[in-house]
Amino acid sequence: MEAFSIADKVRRGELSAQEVMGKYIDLISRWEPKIHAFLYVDEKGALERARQIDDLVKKGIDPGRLAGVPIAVKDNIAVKGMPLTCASKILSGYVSPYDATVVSKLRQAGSIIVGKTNLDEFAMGSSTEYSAFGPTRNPWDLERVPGGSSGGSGAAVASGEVPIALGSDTGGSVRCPASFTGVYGFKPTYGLVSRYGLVAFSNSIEVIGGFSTTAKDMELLFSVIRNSDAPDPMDQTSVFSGPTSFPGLRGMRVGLLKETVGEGAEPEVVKATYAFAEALREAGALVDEVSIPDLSLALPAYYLLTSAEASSNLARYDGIRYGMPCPLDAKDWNEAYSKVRGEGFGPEVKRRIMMGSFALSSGYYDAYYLKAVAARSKIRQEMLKVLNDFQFLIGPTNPTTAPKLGERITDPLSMYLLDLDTVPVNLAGIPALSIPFGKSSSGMPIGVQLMSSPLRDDWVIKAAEELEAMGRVEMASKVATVE
Amino acid sequence: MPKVTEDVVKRVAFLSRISLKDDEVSTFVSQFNSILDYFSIIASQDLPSPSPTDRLVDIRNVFRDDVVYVHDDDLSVIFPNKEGRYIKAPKIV
Amino acid sequence: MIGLEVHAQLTSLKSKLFCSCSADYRRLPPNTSVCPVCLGLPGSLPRLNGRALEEVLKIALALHSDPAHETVFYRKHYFYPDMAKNFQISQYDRGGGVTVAKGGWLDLTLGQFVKRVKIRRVQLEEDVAKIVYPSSLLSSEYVMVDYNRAGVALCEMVTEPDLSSPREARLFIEKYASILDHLGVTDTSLEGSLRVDANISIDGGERVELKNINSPKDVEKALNYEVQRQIMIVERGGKIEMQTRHWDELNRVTVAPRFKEEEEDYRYFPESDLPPIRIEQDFVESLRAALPELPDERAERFVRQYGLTPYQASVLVSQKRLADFFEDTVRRGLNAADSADWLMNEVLGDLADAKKELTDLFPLIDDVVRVVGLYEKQQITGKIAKRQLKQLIISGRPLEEVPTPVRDESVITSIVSEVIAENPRAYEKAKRDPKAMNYLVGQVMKKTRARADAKVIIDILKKKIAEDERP
Repeated sequence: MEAFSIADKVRRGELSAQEVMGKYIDLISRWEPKIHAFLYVDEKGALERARQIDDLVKKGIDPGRLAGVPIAVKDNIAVKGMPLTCASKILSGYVSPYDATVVSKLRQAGSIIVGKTNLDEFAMGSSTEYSAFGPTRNPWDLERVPGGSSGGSGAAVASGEVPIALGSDTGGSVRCPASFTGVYGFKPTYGLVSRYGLVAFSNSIEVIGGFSTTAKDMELLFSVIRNSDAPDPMDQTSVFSGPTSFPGLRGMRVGLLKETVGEGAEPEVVKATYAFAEALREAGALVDEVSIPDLSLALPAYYLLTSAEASSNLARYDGIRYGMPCPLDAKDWNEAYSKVRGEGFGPEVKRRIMMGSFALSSGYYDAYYLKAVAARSKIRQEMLKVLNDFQFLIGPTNPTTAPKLGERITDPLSMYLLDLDTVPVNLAGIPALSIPFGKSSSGMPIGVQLMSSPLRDDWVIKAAEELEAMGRVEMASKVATVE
Repeated sequence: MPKVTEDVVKRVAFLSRISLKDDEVSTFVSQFNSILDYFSIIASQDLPSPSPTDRLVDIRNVFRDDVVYVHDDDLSVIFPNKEGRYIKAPKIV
Repeated sequence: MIGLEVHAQLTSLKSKLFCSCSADYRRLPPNTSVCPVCLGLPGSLPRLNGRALEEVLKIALALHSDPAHETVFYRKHYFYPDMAKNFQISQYDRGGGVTVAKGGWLDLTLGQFVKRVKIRRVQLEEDVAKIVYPSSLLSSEYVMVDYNRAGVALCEMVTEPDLSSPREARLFIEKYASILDHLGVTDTSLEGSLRVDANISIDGGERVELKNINSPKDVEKALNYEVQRQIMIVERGGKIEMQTRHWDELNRVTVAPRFKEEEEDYRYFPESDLPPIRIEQDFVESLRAALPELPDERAERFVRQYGLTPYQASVLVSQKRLADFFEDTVRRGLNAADSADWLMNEVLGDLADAKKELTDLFPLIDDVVRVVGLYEKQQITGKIAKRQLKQLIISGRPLEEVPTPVRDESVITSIVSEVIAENPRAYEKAKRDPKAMNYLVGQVMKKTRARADAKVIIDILKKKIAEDERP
């Protein structure tokens, strides 16, 4: 059932939030043994909150626009009273003592946080295989990955365990799982959603994003979590912009990024992208091919930049103040820190931290880190330039559909290649939506990407709503079903 | 383009405060080299040096008022090693 | 050649630099003035306190330093238990980085001439947590950390290596402290509010960095020790190594780390969680116009307004409290020259001897004024006045008995007669040897409890002797 309908009916008293929650908890218990989307489920708390919502409605008090809607939150976003593991051993035992801003907003809107979902450790990965607590499986094919790093949230929504979920997107971590699991995944403009409470990995580009099964639900979810009337005082890099009305797809100029449908993209994915272009044309948009050659710099620049920032943002994990305890019997603090971090971090995280330290170190800072920032700047400039002429850009979300578990995990670079089409968006800071658009011949969902200029988040979601209303969005099927 | 040796990996592991087992060191040496090759795509570009003010959001002067707000909860519950209200940490001499 | 790096807490701020926790941490139980931000909890973000920028700009202006047009924060990475994030949000002046202000100078009055010490930069950064040792520094098996202080705003000021002696360094610190007090940005009497690191190299030798001088009073001692240590090494034919040494305030020595630490690489890069700061010219000018009277100006005014000598004025303004106290006594009617004289020559010494602070004397200012006033009007002797002041300072309480001076000659005369009657042999001696009169004078003083003027006693004695000798 869609979030929009649940909220609507609960607010009217037509539907009991407790009944709704009961049904979703049941679904979770049936799917979890197969897909392991959740790291933590708060059944008791969720039902209690649902009871409170029903109470409010009985008293004639409006619980909010997401009244009674269950939501899953990626386990790198702080929910007070729930563990915050980031799928890492180094944070085992840590329970967040505060709520992320987006979580406060969700609570105020009446949404009920059911639990925390699985991810690649500290959001570094594209398949959720780098979780220290075991991978999540794709509901469409349990031998395949759900994508990453927000694989748990994608799988939870795709399987129907929850109608909506939160994730984070640094290089495609919301859009990739959305595309691999056949749901919508939205990455907002950088700064438009408060980052306070998002565990930092690459703080200059990462954002909190959302998962849903319909574009309308995405609009609702986004309207709750965005900075709606002022920047968040808890996040001094946050911005707000008023709602922008979307004039409709007719006459809109859309650019299909040539570099994303060339070599490296699977034929069926390319085909789906062209079909998407056709759908847009049928809605009255003008679609042309456009080329941004420097997009080839995006992936290496992304990995350089984010590794450098990761080495800094993850320096704080030393077992002194929280998490896996720092041993007190080592020779000195350096040895103690090295021990707990050596044991607490997984191989991909260690790899990126070390590469990042290297890129920032004296003698290499100019050649590596500064060049990566310069490359980001260049890519941003070029995409914004193109977005002067085109109101939207499109392309596939990923060059492939979901790989099998274990397929790419031994070769880090091959894993990185999954992000080819999503990463330029993060470097440019622009909004992008992954829209489910059909299935491959092996039955796996394909996602296509709709991008626009900074702060045109409303346009992107509304454009998808328009396509959806016209029946032009090819869902793999509404949600994956068990049995 | 630097060729990564075991010494470099060990130095970087120290800077990162990550202890590596011997087999990890040799794995990382080969992985580093391929990743550095990848990074060199960027390192070899002719790009102007960015300003330290280069950000995705172009804003300036975001300030907070000098007002005290007391955080309600007792945060010491999260400390892994405690002595009274102090955090215990390894020796530093 | 000595260069100083001084960290001053901006104690005028109520909250910390990057979060809303109270910055008034000194009497709190450990880890109570903390929050997700200053503890570096996952997901927390820094929020810049706007007043901190104002305060540090005031310091820059007082040092004639040039404010930047745009300034950014940088992350400085190193791992230590007092670092919540294992990087410090600070500033950097290389690779395109610009600190809040750069350049500037501070003039030191050294006897007859003035020495201009150049300032390299002024910047804003966050303070670290406090580390406590369960036993001694060397024997503790672990340490204890209190994050109440973590995140408090610091102004870091770095000088060029223009100072030529430990004494000059001390004078520099004293003057800088007075400037900070006069600006009202730092109350330098608070423990830990001013911390000093020094760079010292002798005769063009290698530079030694000296850290951990936590009290400005230790600056000269620490530097003197280090200078002596280096001289001894050179005299024995050894070489000074470039190294970082710590001032051990308990044992009063500088120590090198026990084993060679692997060198840290701070890996500075810009802090993206805080937008850059644009410093507008108008804003700077409005701050400049509102600057309070600074020590140099105040000293000049003291000379003009009170007729003090430049030397006296410079001593009084070297501590804001002292200058304030001085002006307060004058406001209460004391003659400026006398007040300056007594404060500088008696009060300061007495306070030091009694191990008290000038602030201890503030509530007793009326008594100080009264005592010195009485001396001014010649109603009590200098000796009595000095004694009264000492008593005031040691007891810390208002004087109970008002020292009514004994002026009445008839009273003194009768006491002199008493003393003569009680000490006939001394009197006989005194007739022959004027020096022997002192004993009798002393006896009279005892009886009057020093409230009679010695001169008057001697005159009366002499008269008595003369009378007696008259045939």
